[in-house]
Amino acid sequence: MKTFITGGELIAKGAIDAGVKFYAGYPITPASVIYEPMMRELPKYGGIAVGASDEISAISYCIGASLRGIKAMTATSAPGFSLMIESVAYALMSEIPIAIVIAQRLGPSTGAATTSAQGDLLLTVFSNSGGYPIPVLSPSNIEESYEFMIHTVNVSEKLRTPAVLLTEKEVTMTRKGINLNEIKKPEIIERKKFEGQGEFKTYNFKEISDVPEFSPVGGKFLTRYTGSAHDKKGILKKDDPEVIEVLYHLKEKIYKNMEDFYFYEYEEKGKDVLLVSYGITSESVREISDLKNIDYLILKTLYPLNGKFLKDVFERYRKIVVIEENISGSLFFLLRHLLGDKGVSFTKIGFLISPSEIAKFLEEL
Amino acid sequence: MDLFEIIEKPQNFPYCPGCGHTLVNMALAKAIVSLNIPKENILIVSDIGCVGLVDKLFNVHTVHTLHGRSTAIGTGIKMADEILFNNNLKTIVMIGDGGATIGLLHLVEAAKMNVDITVLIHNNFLYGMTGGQHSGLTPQNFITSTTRKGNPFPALNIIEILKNAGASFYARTFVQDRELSDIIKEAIVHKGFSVIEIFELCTGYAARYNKLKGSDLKNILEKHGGKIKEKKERLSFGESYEESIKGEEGGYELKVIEKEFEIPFNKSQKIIIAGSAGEGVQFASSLLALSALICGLNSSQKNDNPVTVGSGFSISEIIISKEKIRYSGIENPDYLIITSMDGYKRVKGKIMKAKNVIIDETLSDESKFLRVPARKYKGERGGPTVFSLGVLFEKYKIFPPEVFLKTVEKYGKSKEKTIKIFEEGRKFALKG
Repeated sequence: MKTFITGGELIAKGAIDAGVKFYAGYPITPASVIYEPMMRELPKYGGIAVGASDEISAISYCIGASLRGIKAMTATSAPGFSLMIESVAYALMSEIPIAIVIAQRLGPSTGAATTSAQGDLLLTVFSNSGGYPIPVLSPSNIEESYEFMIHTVNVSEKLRTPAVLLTEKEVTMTRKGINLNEIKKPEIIERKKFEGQGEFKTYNFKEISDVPEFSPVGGKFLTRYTGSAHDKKGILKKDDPEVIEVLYHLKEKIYKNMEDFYFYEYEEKGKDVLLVSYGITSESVREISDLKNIDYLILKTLYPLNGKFLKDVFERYRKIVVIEENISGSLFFLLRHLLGDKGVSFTKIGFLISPSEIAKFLEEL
Repeated sequence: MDLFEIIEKPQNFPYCPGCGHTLVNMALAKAIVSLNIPKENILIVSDIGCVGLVDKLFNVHTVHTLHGRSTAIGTGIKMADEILFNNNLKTIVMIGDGGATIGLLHLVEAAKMNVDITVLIHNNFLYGMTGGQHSGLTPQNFITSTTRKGNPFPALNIIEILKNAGASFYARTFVQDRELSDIIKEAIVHKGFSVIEIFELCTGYAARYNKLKGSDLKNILEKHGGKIKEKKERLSFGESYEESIKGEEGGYELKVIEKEFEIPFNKSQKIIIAGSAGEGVQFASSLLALSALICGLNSSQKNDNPVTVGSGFSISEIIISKEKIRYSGIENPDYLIITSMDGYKRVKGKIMKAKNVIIDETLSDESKFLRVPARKYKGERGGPTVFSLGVLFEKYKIFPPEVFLKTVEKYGKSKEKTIKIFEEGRKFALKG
């Protein structure tokens, strides 16, 4: 049984199936294909979908809904995400779950709305002041966009953090016949709630990497949420050892709890060259790998990196070619400290990177 | 309820002696106590600036936000509370000059949608926390640390703006007003968006620079429209929203494309259809992709168009294959169908790489190409594409014509016209 569908619609369906009950959006190509089905479908599930007057309002409404205890998400592209960045950092600091889809298009600035690209990885990963990590996941084809939307909501709820699903125009807007049994549904994860055991503190944790149990604003335990430096109770403070501990906790919470969220696809054929890619470019990598019998690694979790695993894989190869659709090699930049001298960057902008272009690059290598 | 169960004693406030913020906080606390609202049902959303120090003074739910965003975050909380919960959470947003101007659009939108929040604007005519710089709410000729000879511009009249945006409760007064607590009470009880602009003098800067006393505040208020308080009945956000989605039910079901035909198909086919935006190229092309699906094959449709959707080119790249489709672009098309000049310009680089070219007869004299009168059908949405597909099916036998007819029957729009044009295309191919 097949359906004929875009990645954008599958993302919307994934969000709804993940339990998202609040969506606020502002239209932007190529993310409007998520906004429209959410506006159309979410009310059928008793959820709220609203149009905002800009992206700052959109993410702020989502943060509000999440504070009330509701799974919330928005979708945009780099021009809209640029406006949201301050609020993403706020959600990070305040430990408020929120899922954000970024459908990449050609940049910089407003660039070209209907041209696919992969130029926003570093913007996403390093989007907050202070340099704290946020999880960034990416489906490697249209089929996976449903599954990875659910993973993104899951990771954001489980770790009480903003999390990004980074994808591209050719995933959100290309329509494809897909076997329904190819669409995988991960188990849905719910935010861990404080149930009244011991004293409630908005940001309580024992181990530094523990995710504090959540209680909503308006619930029976009085909450103090804040985006300013705070202690475990949420009281604004500075120069206090507990404040510094809370900040380290923001980092450790992500790094130590990602085990279930490191996604990748590694095709080992025993050759000495490895192709590395992510997102829609993965499709060309798979095609050329089949044709020429080349090893590949597709990253579906782009941040944080699973350094130990990557190092172990990279050690097996003589050359590692990182293939991506942007101008300066963003993924290559992220991986460079693990690649050593073996790394080679292949980039292109303007059109999808085709299998034959990869083949040509490899021949000239 | 005892007042000091929900608020700190004023001697513990962080505010400068004589600061109006102290009075606003006490007036708010009194309002909450006299309404006897359980503290679990009160939320204070605070902004940045001295006003943002309010959190730890209150023993209620608090959310300390970003500069200007308190209104928007409060809006999101209340949207969810009104519709998905029991609508018990009284949401009070505390902002100063900066929160009002940075968050102006959020205020306007909350007023427009009549979101059930209460906004207290602490207007002390300048930015106090950062050193007394002038703000969007600084009166004309007012002296601040950045307007030493007086502010050259008049202040924004925030209440007028929000009144015009649809605020269903708005008031303006000054901080020593004995009725302040009662006005706040009324605003909290009001169903829908309420805003109170409270004039204050920043003792640290405004009073010092402008040689003003607290009693001068009333004169400034008079000059800016005086004390007012108005309310009107309007549907709240939740009521309007629920009205708008009435009758929405069912679920988000993925449309299943049933297999209807078993036909032999070996080599994958790559077809580019290039025409003009607004002529239904992408929809008509989807009928080709769907034709493949009802034969149990795989297909993908990658579209391209300029930013506008009604002018310039419109391209669909369709791959049909027995195998799983990965890379969805087409470098060497088996068939290149060109139905307009816009499309021609966009794909001309691929003409030499195409195995077969079907092109509108007005666009080329080249005898190698199959020239067809596609544009004759541009009056019908998708006409030129459907005509060309008729040619493609008849001439190149990509699928039996019944496949297309079935696709139109199941998934088409204006089915009769589509079939008629498709048959015209077939007839043309048979003759030629």
